Amino acid sequence: MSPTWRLSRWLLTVAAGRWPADISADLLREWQAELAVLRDSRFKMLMYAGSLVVAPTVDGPSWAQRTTTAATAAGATLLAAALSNAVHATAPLLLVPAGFLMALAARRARMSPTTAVSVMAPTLFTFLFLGNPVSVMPFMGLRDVAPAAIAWLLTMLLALRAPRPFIPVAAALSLLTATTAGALHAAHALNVSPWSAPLWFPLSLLPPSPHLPPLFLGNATAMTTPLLLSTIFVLSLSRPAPSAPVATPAFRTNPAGTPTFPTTPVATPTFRTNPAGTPAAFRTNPAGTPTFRTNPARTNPAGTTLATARTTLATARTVLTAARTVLTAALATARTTLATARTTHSPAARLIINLARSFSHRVRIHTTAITGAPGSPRRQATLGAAAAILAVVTCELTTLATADTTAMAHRILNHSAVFGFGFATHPAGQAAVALLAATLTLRLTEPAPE
Amino acid sequence: MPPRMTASVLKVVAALLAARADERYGLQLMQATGLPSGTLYPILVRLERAGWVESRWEEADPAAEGRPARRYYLLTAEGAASARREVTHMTRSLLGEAPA
Repeated sequence: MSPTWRLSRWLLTVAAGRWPADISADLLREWQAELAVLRDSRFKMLMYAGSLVVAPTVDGPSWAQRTTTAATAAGATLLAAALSNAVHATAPLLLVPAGFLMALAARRARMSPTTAVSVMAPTLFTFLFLGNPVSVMPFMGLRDVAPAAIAWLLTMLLALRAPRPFIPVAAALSLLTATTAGALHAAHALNVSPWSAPLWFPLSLLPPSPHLPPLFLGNATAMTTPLLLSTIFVLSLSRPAPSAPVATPAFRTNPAGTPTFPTTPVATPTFRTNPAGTPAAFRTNPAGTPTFRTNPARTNPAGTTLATARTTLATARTVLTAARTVLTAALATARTTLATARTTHSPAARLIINLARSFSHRVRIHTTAITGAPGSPRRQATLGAAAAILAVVTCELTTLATADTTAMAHRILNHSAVFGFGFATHPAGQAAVALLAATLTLRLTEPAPE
Repeated sequence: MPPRMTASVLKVVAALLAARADERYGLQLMQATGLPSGTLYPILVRLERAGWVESRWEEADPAAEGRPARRYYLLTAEGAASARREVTHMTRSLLGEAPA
């Protein structure tokens, strides 16, 4: 069997895995039969299998929906980058609300975490690599950014496959790995011991440390903050329900090296008149009663670890519930205080409150008159256009901010530099950023599905 | 629910109508319509779900044929009538004639 044949068969298996579980096994068998006919032409085999791998499935997203998803993920990455700049330019503590904003954006985005990681990693690479002139960021070259982006991509994909309670821990390890991979070159050049690698990620999020060179930490920070915010976005996406694995028909190879095929399909030459979703049959034993299997995880060490994790999770849930109770009580107290202020305070205070409410009401009326009702196409278009214009203006301001490289080098050292967005100096880059900003705004302001 | 009629779906139903009495397998339909595999199979699944098309597995010995059994597609009676109506409607629309 040639490598092309094996590759094509693997592609078919991948393609079938994307289809609904009730039809994927039959489709795979059918495609493998057609592929066998094309065995003499490597090109045709690859075209046949390749087309099935990339094409939308029957119930999956269309090309248009895929484009929107990719634009949203890329836009979220740029949002993470812009927020990183804002945090560095103001106060490190703003990282907390920036994280909340990314989580909020993720709640409105409809995509799988795996898709998000797959799109965000190359966008992060573009942002970090093309957006940083070498003269300003000496350790933002290909040797720095590529390992960080690749390490983040691979480790995040692995982290997302972990059991749900362990995903945040696995994502934190992913950030550690990505930071280490991205800073190794700088560490070597600046004589920083690689043994201190586990500290690079936490120290890059804190104010300048005397333990590591400022330039080293400046570079690490420029990489880790967008990575951290992107990770928060990915973890905040709602995860799709797991689908059943595809049953791959067994192909055997005889000693002569030619493939042999199972004969089972031939024995069932029945026309299927209602394939529209017949429920899968429950399997019963000969006596007619369903059988149950015990979970082996409960009787081995892995089961004990799982039980410990469950206990930890239960404790964390209790703490969170208590925190929510305290917060609810605080909110109720604040509401009561406000209501009391409205009724008992001086006429001047009441006048200010009423004026503020009247102003807010008028603003809402005028905004609705200009942009249309919330969720209407006119409102959506206006907000999208406004976001695009704002994005272009931001690009221009960023360009101005990075013009003075001497001042920039100083600001990198004290963690206040605006980095990245170098591609935004080009009209095509600005157009791309504006398009992404508009798409992201449209997605965020879209009415929630009923 | 009837399938949404696009140019690609029309090509597939037209190819199946052209060989009304004969069953067609995937590669034959790809050659007849010029559609890539990634476009053809989702259409066939949609048509089958809509009841326009039915399929069966080939009755052949895989060892003798040197390949697994193929899957054949055939228009149902309802599918053939609907497909003919849609193709006629589309032809008239393209020619600028009023619908019958």
